[in-house]
Amino acid sequence: MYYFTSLALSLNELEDGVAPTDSRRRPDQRLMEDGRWEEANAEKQRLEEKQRSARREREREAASQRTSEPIRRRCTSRELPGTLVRALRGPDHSEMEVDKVVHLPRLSRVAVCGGTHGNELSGVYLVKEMLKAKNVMKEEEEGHVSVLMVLSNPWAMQQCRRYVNTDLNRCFTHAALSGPVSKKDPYEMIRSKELNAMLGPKGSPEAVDLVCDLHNTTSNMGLCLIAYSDCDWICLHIFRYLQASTTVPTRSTMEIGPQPHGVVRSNIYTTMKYGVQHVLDWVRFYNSGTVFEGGFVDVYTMVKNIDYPRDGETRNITAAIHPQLQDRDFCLLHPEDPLFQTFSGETLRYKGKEPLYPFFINECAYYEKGIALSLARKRRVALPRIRVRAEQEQQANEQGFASEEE
Amino acid sequence: MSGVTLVNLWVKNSAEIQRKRVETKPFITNPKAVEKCTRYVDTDLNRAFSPENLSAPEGDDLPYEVQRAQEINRIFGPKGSPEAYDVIFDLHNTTSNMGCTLILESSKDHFNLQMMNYIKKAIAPASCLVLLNEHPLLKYSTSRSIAKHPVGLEVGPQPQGVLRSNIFEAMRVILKHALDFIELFNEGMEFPPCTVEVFWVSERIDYPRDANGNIIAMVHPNLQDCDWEPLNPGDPMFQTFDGKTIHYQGPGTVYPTFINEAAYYEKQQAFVITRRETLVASAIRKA
Repeated sequence: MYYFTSLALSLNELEDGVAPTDSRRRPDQRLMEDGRWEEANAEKQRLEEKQRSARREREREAASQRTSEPIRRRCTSRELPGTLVRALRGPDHSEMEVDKVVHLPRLSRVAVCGGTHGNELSGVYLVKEMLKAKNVMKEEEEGHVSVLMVLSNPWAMQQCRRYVNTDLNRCFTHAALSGPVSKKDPYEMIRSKELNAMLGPKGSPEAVDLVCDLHNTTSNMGLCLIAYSDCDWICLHIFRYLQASTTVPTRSTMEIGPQPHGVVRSNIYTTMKYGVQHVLDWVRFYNSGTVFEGGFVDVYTMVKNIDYPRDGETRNITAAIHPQLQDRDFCLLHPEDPLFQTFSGETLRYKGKEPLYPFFINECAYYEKGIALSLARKRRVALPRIRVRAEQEQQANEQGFASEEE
Repeated sequence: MSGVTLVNLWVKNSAEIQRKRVETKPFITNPKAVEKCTRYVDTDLNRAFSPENLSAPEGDDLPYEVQRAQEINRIFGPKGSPEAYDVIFDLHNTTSNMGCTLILESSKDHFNLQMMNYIKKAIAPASCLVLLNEHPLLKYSTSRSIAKHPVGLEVGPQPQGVLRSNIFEAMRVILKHALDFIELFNEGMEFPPCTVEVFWVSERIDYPRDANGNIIAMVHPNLQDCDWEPLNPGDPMFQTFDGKTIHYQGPGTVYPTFINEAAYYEKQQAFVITRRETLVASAIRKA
């Protein structure tokens, strides 16, 4: 039927010994399997409404408790409200609660960081311009947000290099931040602690709410937002807003390319400038109480890196990215597609079994990290409706903090 | 990276660059910079071959690249002497959209003009343009200037530190034709007079800067990547960070190149202006 494999055809078949809550036992699914489409749809609506009302009841009971994690922390499915995790299950997301609004804390302090890598110039020049034209937001202005502009690695910027001693963007692990400060430490290890004191401490309530870290890449990635969790609703909603606002292809730190390191290209700078403006606009709308509708976003989750073929002795690369792959970031790479071209003209092909999406293809800074390209899987993530927590909720939450500390 | 990769390849196996009656030596000019994947360690090697530097007393206190320039002068020179190498091909990449470019240092070097004419015809219909830098103030003491016939190869666009296969192959093909020419010349072939179109460097244009020397504008999107295309008076040239356009105010049409080369921010150069000229090369034949 419809050229389905036998596996696909048999996936929904009942079998003995499965749990009573197995999804194959759902009455609407059984009706669908029997070809009774209208009854299946009606039953689906009934079941969903039953779940919604049960959830509303639970929410009313849990209204005075802490129900969500600070957004600046990494958000895992384990930490999310149990209802939201269940809502995301199922390939058709039929359990997605589209009319439920998740209330999240206000974003009072945002940092825009440029020059984390000193030769990625769009961010360097943009932050310099923002510092020059700094507008002080009035306290009473709606959607007030305090924006800190930071040039993260001034010494590397001065020399127009990625870093002086070590990559600053790898110096923010808890181990790196918690060690004692010593003048003998690499410059970037000292600097990361300074930035942590300024914008953090990491993981504490005093940390800024959102960091927008500006980067460039030599890869043809367009405008990319790099988030650290597929449950970070703030970042994913910002991404959706950017996607709707710009004509530059957006995927889901703000990474924009292609731009050689040490160069500022006007089109790339302008894209980044508008990108940052849109992010700050979104934050102001959010803080003012705008409800951002739920929906779906496609995210690319890293699976693995592939290094260049290298000479066994010298470790010099022995091939370049194949011309048919160069500049084709986020274009699906299939098994047996060309990957590299050796210097003797031979084509080396992708030997993975699964088609994946390549990105960071031929990023200059990754030669030393042993990465010719990265590969990602694309998947659809469901976003709930969100809005900022109301004042009363915010205060109740803070009192909850205080009483817990006591 | 193209030049570094090609030379490393040929150091391992030089078959590709061997020609009859020619001694061809692949050479990494600045190994310390290559190791660090940086343009230079102390100072730009390709500006270090001045008479002052080459005649300075040797010493470890000299910048690394000055010491290296003296060493290279011993190996391939001395500059200006009969013992100097006949030809040096100096392999470069640029972040500018220059395509394949051959750089000439003298409008009277008929051997080089003939070689460049040969290369242009050999790679046609692909393009290979000739940049002539004979400007008394803007020309500089390159590593290739040690040889009697210095030839610069500049291929772009390619970011620094990156190897793009199309750029790599383009440079490789140009070298192949250049060496073929030398082989034919050495075998006694006569090359009749020819004309060669060149782009003659006339002026350097810097970025607009503030009182502290910081740049306040970028190459305009209409000019970005338009190397070798005519720039007319009134055309957009720069765009400030807040979006204003600065126009070219020169007297006539010019041909910009080296537009937005990464390494030239520190040399106060956003692009160079050239004028199109046609040079006549005399017939040449091995003596």
